[in-house]
Amino acid sequence: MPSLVKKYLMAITGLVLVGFAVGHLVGNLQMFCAPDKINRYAELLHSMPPAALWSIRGFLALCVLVHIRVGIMLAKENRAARPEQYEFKTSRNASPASKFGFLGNLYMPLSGVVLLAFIVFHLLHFTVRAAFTGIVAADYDKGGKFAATLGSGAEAREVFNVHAMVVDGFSHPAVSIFYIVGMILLFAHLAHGTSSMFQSVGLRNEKWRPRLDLLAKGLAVVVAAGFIAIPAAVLAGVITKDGVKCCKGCQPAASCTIEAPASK
Amino acid sequence: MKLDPKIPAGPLKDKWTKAKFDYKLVNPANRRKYSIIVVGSGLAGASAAASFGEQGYNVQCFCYQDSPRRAHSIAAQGGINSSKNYQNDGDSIKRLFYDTIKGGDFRAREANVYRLAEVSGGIIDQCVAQGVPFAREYGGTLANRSFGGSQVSRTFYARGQTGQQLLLGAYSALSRQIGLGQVKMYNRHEMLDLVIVDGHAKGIVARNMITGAVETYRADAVILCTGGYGNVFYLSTNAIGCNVTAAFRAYKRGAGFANPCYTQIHPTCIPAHGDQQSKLTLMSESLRNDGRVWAPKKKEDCTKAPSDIKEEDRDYYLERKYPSFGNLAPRDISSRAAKEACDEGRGVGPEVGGKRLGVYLDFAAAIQRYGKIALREKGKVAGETDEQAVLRLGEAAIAERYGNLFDMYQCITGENPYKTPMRIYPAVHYTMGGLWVDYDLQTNIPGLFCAGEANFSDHGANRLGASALMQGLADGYFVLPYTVPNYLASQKAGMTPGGVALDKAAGAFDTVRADVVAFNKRLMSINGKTTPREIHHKLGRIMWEYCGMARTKEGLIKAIGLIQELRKQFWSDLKVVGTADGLNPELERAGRVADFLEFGELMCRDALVREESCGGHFREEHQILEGVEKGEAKRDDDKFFHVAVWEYKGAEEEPVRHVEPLVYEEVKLATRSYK
Amino acid sequence: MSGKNLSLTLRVWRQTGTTGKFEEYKVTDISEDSSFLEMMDILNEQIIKNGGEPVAFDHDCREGICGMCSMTINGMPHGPLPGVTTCQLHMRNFKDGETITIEPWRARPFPVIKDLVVDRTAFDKIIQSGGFISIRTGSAIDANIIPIPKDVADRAMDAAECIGCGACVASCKNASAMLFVGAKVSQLNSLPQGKAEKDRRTLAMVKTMDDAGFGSCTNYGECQAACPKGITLDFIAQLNRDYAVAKVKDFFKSTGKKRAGGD
Repeated sequence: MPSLVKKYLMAITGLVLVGFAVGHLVGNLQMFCAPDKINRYAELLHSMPPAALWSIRGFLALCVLVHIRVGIMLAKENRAARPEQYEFKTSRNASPASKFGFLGNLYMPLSGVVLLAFIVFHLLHFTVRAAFTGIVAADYDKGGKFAATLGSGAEAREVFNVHAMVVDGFSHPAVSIFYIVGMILLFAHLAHGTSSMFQSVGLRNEKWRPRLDLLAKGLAVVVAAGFIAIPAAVLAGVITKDGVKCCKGCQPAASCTIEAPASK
Repeated sequence: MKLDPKIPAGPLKDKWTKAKFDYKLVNPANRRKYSIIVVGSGLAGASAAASFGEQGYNVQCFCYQDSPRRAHSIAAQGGINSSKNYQNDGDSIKRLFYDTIKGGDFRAREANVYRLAEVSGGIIDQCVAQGVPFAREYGGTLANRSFGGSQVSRTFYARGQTGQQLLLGAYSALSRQIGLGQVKMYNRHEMLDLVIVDGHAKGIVARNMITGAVETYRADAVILCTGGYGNVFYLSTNAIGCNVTAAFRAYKRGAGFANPCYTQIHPTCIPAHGDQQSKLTLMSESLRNDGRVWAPKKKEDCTKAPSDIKEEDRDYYLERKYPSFGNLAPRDISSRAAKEACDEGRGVGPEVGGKRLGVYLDFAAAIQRYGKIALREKGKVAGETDEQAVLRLGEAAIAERYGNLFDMYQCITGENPYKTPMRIYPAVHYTMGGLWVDYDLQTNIPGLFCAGEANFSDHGANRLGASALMQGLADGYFVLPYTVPNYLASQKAGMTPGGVALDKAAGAFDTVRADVVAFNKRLMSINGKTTPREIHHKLGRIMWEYCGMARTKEGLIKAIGLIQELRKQFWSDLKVVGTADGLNPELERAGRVADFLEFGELMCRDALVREESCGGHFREEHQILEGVEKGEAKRDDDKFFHVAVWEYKGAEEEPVRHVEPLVYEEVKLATRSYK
Repeated sequence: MSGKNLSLTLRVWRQTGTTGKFEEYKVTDISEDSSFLEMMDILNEQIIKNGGEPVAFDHDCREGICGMCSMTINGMPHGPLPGVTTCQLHMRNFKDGETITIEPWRARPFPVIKDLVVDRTAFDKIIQSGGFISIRTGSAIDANIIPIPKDVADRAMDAAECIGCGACVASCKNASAMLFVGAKVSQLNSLPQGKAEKDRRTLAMVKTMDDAGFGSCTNYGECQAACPKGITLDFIAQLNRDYAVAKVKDFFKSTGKKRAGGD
């Protein structure tokens, strides 16, 4: 496969994954609303026809796989292109590579590998709910001891309590710290990748490069900070199973100001 | 030695047309049976090799650099002349022809120069088609500038890198042929001898500079495009590797060497900083449009900072001596004037070899002039005095015009030329002499052709600015592709004139190869104490002192003696380390210096016999002694209106000088005057 | 012109065959006005006088245009001064007593021949595969028939300034040749004369580049910072763009004719 085609694949799959990350973040930030909000959202997602749900999941998985596979190919080729290293190498460019010294050579591959580990753990944690992560899926599901109730009166129904699961999941400091570390690496990965993908498909120039770099860093900060906010807030006790507390000891907000779930 | 210039009969303007029709052709189906060796990959070599490849010949091309793209044509800055007359300012083939003949001080061959002017238009077409990004007007047409004091704007340019762009164009055409297999390229191969079989050039011996292998290469014709010999002066604007070896060894095998004493000294180079200097860098002549050249009037001022020298103590000598041309006086004249000032002890800058060799090129007046104009247009910024504004705006105006040159000057000298005047000094730049060739660019050895700076044909005693690029490409694209096939048509493909297949004709090839191996062995086995560089450096000082900008009979005789002594030292005390069978830059240099040591003597001999001053050759005995032209060169057309051609007679034998009389049908001889 | 002299310690890569090592040399009395290569000349004369073999290094024009000089000085191709080649780097940019590490260009497609001399014929091969406009000598039309807008000509010239030295490859952490290829492709693809074989050229040059074993671009811009001629990443972007178009066209292209022997 020509090297440039590999770069196109990295750019295109990267774009899909950035898009997914942003969408995922918007959904997750509902953790800062009343528990019903995110539970209703989860219900909506789960009510998708399985074919659609699995198509999306499959497509995302494919993008991840292609991104990783091609990334490995590139990293190997790039390594082979310089079999004998410089004894003394100085970077004269303010690129991530220079800031991280010798780690610069591994900047994207290394952040990518850790991110992969993170994604695997994250899926096991909240999607598969593997036992070792401490999440017992049945507890949160319909009929479980933490199941949530949406609606009132005749429309009242029990649903999977995502909110509670996330709060419980992040109540272990080790887990939360791993998430936070993962998200810092996501920042690093996106800060370069989001601007780089424009270059890889030829849609960048020296006039726009600083702007796109800034945009990429801005986006990376927002995405990473947004994701970090959730475990951080849980650890800090701001998000509790009852909802968001503005300070320790005060009453959780009863409803989300964006949309009042119980208004019907 | 038979010197028939083979100039076609008929009126000057029809000669080339007639010649092209009269030349014999080689049938396309037969071309693949012929092979051609091209030595050198500069403008002439690359364009010739590419053109032959396109025609269907098998070409072997050699260069000593790691890639054909690095030949020193790449360093030409200014531009390339062409008689396109796109500016509608009165240019024509005839005018370009006349300017070149006059610029050459009436020492070039008329028919060759006319042809050069005639084909110059096609060069621009060819280069544009290759993708050479010449400067353009907003309307999309090509831009021109006036160059080297020319009265018409005929110079095409690509920023300050015209030579680079033209060479990359020729290199791309050459690369295409290499990719197609028509040309076999030998990078890092140095030609060390010529093989002559039955009186015809049929091959070369070259050394693979990586493995050290000395090999023979065979072909039906050999073309030398190996550049000039300016490095005989050690310090010049030539690349470090430029050398005379290929041409000189052809001379030793019987080719005539024409006018070796004609050297062009360029007035605006950055002076040497000291003994560690290895080469000189040219600053474009365009700087003289705005810079004023001066030297201190008093010797005691030479060590002062230029700003401490009062206006009345400055000698703007070009403006004083040549009031009408002033700072724009031609190259040879400005160069000599700078040398005079320094010889009088009024040079500035660091002392090198006991002398201060530099004069000032001052932009202060131009900064003030442009600054005042800009101040009227743009006004000053808050908190600025008028003087500050003039200085700021004036410097900006100068930066716009010459910014890259000022940066280069600062990079090399560490001085800021906006604040302190530049120091300049003349340096060897181009050599007009070269192997003698006839109208077909063929030397007196059948089958051996020579093109570009390596031949003598088009520039007479002095070359005009922006004409070297024109000549190289004219020879390679438009002359050799006609004249070489004419020779080939008379030869049986792949055969010696005696009728033996070239690849079986071992004798001559093996002998020459053995000579080369023995020569290198001799260089390696002296085991003395002096390095090739040291001897080269000494030779350069002798040449510059006695055979440089101004020459005298006594000086030249002395130089010949000194060179002979130095040659003895070379052959008795040389130290070449390393081995012959591998990459060995010391051996390469030793071989080149060995040739320079003989060639330098030949130059001095040529300069000695030419008892006149013309173009780049100035004999102090031959200058105008009285009147307004006092101190100017005095030509002697009665005695020296000819080409001097030297024939090699053997080691330590005196070479023999032959003469090709010049015949002018069109041009009337006149005196150059720039007063 | 300062007249000061420097003493320096040089750690120079010495290699014959496939392996090499650093050797340390001391040089004294180096004029601040000398160029880096003049300092190397002095080192070599000194080594010769001491009976050793001089350091082999590539150099020729010594005025920053031929592209032959190629040294990695203190980890930076062409040394610490931006926008200049090794030959234009002057010793006033170093401090008295400094230790300078000198290495060759390091990249798989640029094997070391000896000491600091590397083989850059991979670049020539890339040009041979498509870095030209196919025009026979003598068949060109008049130069002014096709007007070229000034900004297009200027942009082509920006790209054409590349001297083919290989500092981009040497500085790139992946030893990628994208800046070199991008510059040549952009120069020719931008001009009307080069449009006819634009796609063919782009595909062929990238293929040769890949086959030579250069790494790929990570878009960090280290090459741009090392380039002595100021070639920018714009030309890599243009290469990426032109290649994408060429590849897509190539993917859908049909021969347009049925041939006797099938396809």
